[in-house]
Formats: sequence, C-alpha cells, structure tokens
Amino acid sequence: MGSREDRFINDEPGEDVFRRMLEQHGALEPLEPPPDIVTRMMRQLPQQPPAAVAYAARQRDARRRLVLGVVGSLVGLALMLGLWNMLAGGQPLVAFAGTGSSAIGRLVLMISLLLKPIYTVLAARAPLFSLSIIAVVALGGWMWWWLIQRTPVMVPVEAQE
Amino acid sequence: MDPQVEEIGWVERALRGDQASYGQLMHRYTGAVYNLAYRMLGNAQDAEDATQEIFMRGYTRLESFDRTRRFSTWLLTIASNYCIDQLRRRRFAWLTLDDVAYSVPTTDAGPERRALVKEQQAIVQRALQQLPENYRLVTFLRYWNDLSYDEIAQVTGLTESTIKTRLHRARHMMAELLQDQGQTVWEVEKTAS
Repeated sequence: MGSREDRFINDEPGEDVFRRMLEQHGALEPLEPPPDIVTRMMRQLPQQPPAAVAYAARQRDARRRLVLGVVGSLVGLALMLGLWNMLAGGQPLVAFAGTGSSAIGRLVLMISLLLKPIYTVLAARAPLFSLSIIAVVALGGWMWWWLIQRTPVMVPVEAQE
Repeated sequence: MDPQVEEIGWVERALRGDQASYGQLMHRYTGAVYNLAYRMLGNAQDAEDATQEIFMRGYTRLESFDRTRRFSTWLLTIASNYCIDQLRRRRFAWLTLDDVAYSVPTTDAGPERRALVKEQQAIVQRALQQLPENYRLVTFLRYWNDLSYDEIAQVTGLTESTIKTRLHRARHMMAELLQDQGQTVWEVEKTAS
C-alpha cells in the first residue's frame, strides 16, 4: 500500500497520475457559466470610470472609519471615565467636565449616565474580579476567533449523504 | 494580435470609461472566474454571485492593475481572495451542510453516459470540497487552470515550495477521499506506469 501511495503522490509522476484520474472522472471539463451572466454584469457596472468609482469607495470608507473612530473614541473615553470613577474614588472625574452648563460638559455627563448601569454592575463585584472576568472573556473570544480562523473548512463525508 | 496586448488595450479603454472594453474582458474571463468560484464555493448559485462580485471588484480596482503582469493572473488573485474570504465568512454563519450543493451541469452525451459522468464529476467535486480551502485553491489553479508554480505563486502570494507541498498533500488527501468513496484511483496509476 505504501508504494502505491508513494507513486500516487510523488511530484512529477504523481501529477500525471492525478491529472489522468481527474480526466477519467470527467472532472476537468469546464463548467458553463449562465449564458446571460455577462449581460447582467454589464448592466450592473457603474456609469463612471473605474478611477471615479474607486475614489467614491475610498471616500465612503474614510467616512465610515471616521464615524467608527469618533464613536469608538467616545466609548473609550466614557469607559476610562467610568473606570476612574469606580477605581480611584474621591471626586468623580465627570465633575471636571463642569456642571452640565457647557456643551462638552453635557456630552460627558450624558455618556457617563448612559453607561452608569454597566459600572454599577461591575462595581457590585470587586473591581479586580470584574477586570479578570473581562480579561478572560476577551481572551476566550480572541482564542475562539483565532481557532476558527485557522481551522480549514472541512465537510464531513457522512453529513453529505 | 497578442492576447495580452489586446487585453492591455481593453484595460486602457476601460480606465477611460469605455464599459464595452471591460465587457470584452468579462467575456474572456467569465468562464475561468466562474469555474474557480464553483470549485471553491461548491455550488452554482454562490459561484454566480461570486463571479458578479469579482468582476465588480476588478472594475473598481482596475487602476491598480500592473500592465507588466497578465490580466488573468491579476483577476484570479482577486477571485481567490474573494472565495477564501467567503469560505471564512461561512464559518461564522454556522454553515449547515444542506447549503453545500453539488449541482453539476449536464453534458451532451446520452442519458446513461451522462448520468455516469455526472456521478463521477460529483464524486470528485465532493472530494475537492473536503480539502482545506488553501489546498483546494492551489489544486484548482494547478489542474483546472493549468497554471505553473510561478503563476500560482503570483496569484496566491505563496512560495513555490509551499505550493508544491500543498499540492502534494492535496493529492494525497484526494486519493484517500476518493478511495473512501469506492473509487478505483489505482487503476489510473497502473495505466500511468
């Protein structure tokens, strides 16, 4: 059996044998795409030249990144403020933003109030315990993503029958 | 006219907004892109959607096409990346196996012959679908598209030795998968020796 396998997978002879096997199974026959697919694709093509389309797409991406960046920064700021309030004690940091008379003060106050329930839940436990849970969840999520990302897509034979 | 020169002309005109020129490129490469998408994604509907999306991306990125390279290589790079990306997304969608259909188009042969060919094609397609995606891609590029190692390296960004290793393993896995399905792959081997 070993010699058979070796012959099958050896580079040059293996290539020929493999190609013949595919030919014998009719697997190398090219598949015909749907006959009207080019017409449909032509209809979908943008009216502008590629450079203009690419420019518009870049602009869209830049706007999306900007919005995400602003939202992310605000959430990050709010989280830092909340953590400061929770861990440092003393005067809440949000107090430095004023009494709510200025626009920025109102914004910080609003974000702080919106996120207050989260801090309350976290503060109900010991801060270190809460941070450990966050770290474990983040690590678990990252490991899950990493393993899923690296695992090859395989379809079990029995599931196809 | 040299096809590569002709294609560069089409690209130049498409860049100036001549959609018909890009249409010529689509006519020439729809088959190659559709076949790659079908072999990678495993069903006709996904292959069709992928073909449309790949050509749309090609149009948007046409400016980045390096005229010293072959257009087919550049387009297949986009197609390969798109298909790998789709396969990765499927994992997050908790793909059910019902989604993996194996619709092989009919041929012009008689009904019995057609049924046999269809069954054999489906067996190979099923085995191909069970290869890890990166192995499947190099296998398709090598045997279905007849690309050289160098061309596969350009499409995938892999080194030649990695490609050879993946092809070697892919052939080994395919042989095992086909044998598991009762295929007499060794008869082919005997005829080759």
